[in-house]
Amino acid sequence: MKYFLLGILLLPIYLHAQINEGNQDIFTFKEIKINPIYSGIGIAQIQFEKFQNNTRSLNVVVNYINLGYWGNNTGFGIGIGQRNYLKEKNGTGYFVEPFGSYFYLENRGAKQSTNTLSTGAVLGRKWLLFNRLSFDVYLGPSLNFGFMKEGTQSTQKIDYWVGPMNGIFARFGCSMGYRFN
Amino acid sequence: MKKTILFFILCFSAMLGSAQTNNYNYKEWPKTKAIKINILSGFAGTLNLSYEYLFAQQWSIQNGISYTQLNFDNSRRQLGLNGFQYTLDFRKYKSIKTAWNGRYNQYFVRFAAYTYKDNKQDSSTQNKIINYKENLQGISIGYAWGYQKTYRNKFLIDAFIGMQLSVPTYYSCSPSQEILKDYKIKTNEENLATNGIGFRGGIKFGYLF
Repeated sequence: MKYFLLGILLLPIYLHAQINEGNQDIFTFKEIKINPIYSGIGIAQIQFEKFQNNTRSLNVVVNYINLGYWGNNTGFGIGIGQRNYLKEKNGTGYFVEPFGSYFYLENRGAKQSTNTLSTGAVLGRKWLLFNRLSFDVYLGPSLNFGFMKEGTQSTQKIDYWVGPMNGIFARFGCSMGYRFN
Repeated sequence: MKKTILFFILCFSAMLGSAQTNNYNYKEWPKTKAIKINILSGFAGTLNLSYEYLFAQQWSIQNGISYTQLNFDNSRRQLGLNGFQYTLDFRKYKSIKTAWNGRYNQYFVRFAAYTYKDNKQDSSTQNKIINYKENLQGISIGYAWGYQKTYRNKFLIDAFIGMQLSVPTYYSCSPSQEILKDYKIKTNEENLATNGIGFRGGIKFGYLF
């Protein structure tokens, strides 16, 4: 009788554990990705995504920019974002990603350099093939704060719109990647 | 006595069990507030944020504010469009069973205020550069149709399309309107956010809380 009662008393705890069991899954995949569209316009972009669980991951982006055809501009960019997948699947489907990034672009001919800080959020979708190959697309608004240095002048805030370097614009793209443990 | 105490413990444990499960269900109860961002507005130099409040099973109110800042500056043209829009939406979901989810009809009122500055140089200005600045304001009413879906009772995606009818409420410009008429500048008639029949559409994602 005592054990029976004890069992009944512990039942709620057992039920609670049963209900929340799904949240305890270990999910530690990583992905390495490239952006095929940006490669076409002279930006080499590599992304690394590390899953914390099946709904959340950390995405790090590194860009090398070489726009030789447009005023001898070169530079780099780094960014970080946290992806929240909307469904509790294997890290695929729709996701929301707040992000922050930094860009540096310089024109050696004109002795001009631009620094940009960006923040925003994107909505995207990821597909997975054979549980290994991934493809994702994303789009969202971004707020960009650009600062320019020309020649020997001190750095100044840009007061006009320069697309992704200053003003309100969008962050968009796609990436192809490989998922591993 | 012992049996009575045991009986009460049994009753209490059953209640506790029920309370535990109810507590879980309560967490799954639909939330009433959501904050959203429009993902397409960035291409128009606009940041669009909105807040939706579900006040009945099928009805909600959405307050939206969008801020536009587009300033182009090059040697030939200096163009600037700055302003904001406030939109008040009344939304009715079609489904009674699932709050936040499914198709909906939306009726909205919108107020828009813009400052537009530009320059013009052609035969109508006798090849002189004319710099002008205009303040435009207008009120719109409209209807939109959309579909919204929630995920994990935490995030949502919302897509909609609709039409609006706008009337100008205020207009001022420098130089004066008579002078601008001679140069065939008619921004107050051509801006669809403040005059005429316009289109409204978008895709938003949001966070429920």
